[in-house]
Amino acid sequence: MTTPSSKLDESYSRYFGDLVRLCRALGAGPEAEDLAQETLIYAREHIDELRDPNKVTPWLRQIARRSARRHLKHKPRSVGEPVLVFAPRDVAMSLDLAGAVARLPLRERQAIGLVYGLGYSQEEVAEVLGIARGTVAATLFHARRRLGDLLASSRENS
Amino acid sequence: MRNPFAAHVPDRRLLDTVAGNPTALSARDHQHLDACAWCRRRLVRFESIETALRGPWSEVELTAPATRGALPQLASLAAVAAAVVVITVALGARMVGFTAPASPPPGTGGTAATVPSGSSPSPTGPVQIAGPFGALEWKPDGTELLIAGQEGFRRIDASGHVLEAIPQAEAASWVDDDHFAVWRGDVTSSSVGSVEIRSVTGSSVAVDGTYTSEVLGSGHGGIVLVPASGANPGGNGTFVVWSSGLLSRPIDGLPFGWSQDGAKIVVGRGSVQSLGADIQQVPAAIATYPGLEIRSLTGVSADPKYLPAFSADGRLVAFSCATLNPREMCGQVVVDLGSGRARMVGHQPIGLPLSWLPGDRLLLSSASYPDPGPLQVWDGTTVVPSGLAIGSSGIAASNGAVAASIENTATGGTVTIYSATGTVLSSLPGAAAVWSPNGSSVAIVPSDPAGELVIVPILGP
Repeated sequence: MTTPSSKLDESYSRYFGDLVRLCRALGAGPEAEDLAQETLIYAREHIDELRDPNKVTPWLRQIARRSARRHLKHKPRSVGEPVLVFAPRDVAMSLDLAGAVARLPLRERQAIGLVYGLGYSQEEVAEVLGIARGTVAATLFHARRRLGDLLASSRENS
Repeated sequence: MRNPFAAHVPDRRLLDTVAGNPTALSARDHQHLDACAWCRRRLVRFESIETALRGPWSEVELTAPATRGALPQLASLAAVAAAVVVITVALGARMVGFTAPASPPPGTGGTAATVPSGSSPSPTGPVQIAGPFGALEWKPDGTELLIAGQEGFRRIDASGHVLEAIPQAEAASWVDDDHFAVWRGDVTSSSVGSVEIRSVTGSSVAVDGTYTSEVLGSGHGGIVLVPASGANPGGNGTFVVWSSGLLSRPIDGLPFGWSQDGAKIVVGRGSVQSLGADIQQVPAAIATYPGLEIRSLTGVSADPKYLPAFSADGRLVAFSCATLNPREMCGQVVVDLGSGRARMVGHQPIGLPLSWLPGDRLLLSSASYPDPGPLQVWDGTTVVPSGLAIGSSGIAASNGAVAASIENTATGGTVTIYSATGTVLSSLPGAAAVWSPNGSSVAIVPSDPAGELVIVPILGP
């Protein structure tokens, strides 16, 4: 008989990869793999709390999001230290896309990374970030508009 | 009252378009894009961003402390920018010798902030209104304006005083002198939203149903709305008219615009044909109001992107891009609604703003368009040079004054204001002009919406 726990074990590699990508998109940087592993360990221990066995993936993603948030909140960082930003690679535009993405507010940066970088639907983003679907749409709008303005001003300055 | 060339396309619809929503832009948005280099640049910018975002993603190492400290940096920049705006407005006010109006801060909720209009004296000189702004529509009595900005609409008086901020409004139009309609898009869609009718005293009532952003006020108590369920960009669709709290029955057709007396609506009925990349033609008809009886304009097809222009008595209607023969390119067509006779009076194959001079004379563009020259006039039988106003295109006021625009992509253009007798009254930088309905003021729209809108009072005869 397939239990949620055994399902978790059988698909460990798939879940792990998904969570690492998610944590990177949320800004965890080099700690993404550790956070993904912690998430799976926590999930294995608390699998009984999962109410709907068909919603393993959203449940894991929510745990990972909370872990990433705690990590971002408490991680010390000194001025000048390099930071990893999940951003599109577009050499043709000759623009500082990563710099522009990094200047977005955290929620906008996360939403745009999840939708464009990881291919999440807006419903999936709403589940992960714990916000309404409409808020995701509004957040994406503000992020794209802000990116347009940031890149336009960087073009003018250069 | 409404100038399609001044209605900048909201970012939300531009972004939805580049994200692949083919119906995000309305017909008038397309018209505006044809004429507005600023909006086209913005669209191209968003297309570049969309293309980049859809490319491969990876983690990129940044050496600058961009993540942490980014928000304080932006906040500092915003504070500096705000200070610069305040200083600029103050300096601008001193330069033209008037006191800059106090603007209430833009709200964040959906409730408009109303301030008493008081008794602003009529301005005697140009009034500058800081941007950014987009669409603009005069109140029927010419005393106030609705102007769009990035965060919603503002209602201002002719002295530039902000009477009301209307956050999140993406379209607005005057129903009559005391009421205007406001359209706000749904959170999840830029093409479907809700409409409320607001009173200038601050009260409001919601209109049942959801609608597209096509909100066309008559100025005489009626407003045309396109139900979201009836929108059909490739065909007719349906529209309704709201008046005094009641909605009419749905009428088949694509509404173009109202006559000045609010008694007729030009409607497209039939399949939309494409003539080239940017020109569409749909068989035109007239709907009477309030009866909403439809009368076809036999043989006339017009581009729904361009507002028709009715003569003062409503007997003649001019289309800026219409055909009498489906195999011809569009030109400027005048239809006599009394006899039904339709004539092509101009042959510029693009949509240009049309307007009527006293005596049922139609003001046309320069014969050498886009190069400036004497504007032409159709006098009822033939087209002759105006002999007075010089420009690429022009807009006439009801009293015969003319604002002639000279296009210049490098400088943004110049608008020269001529009196009814042809005397030059003023010449200002700008891209387009919008006359108040009684011709007592003209709003000069800058080519860059971040620039200043200038309202020029026309004094004397």
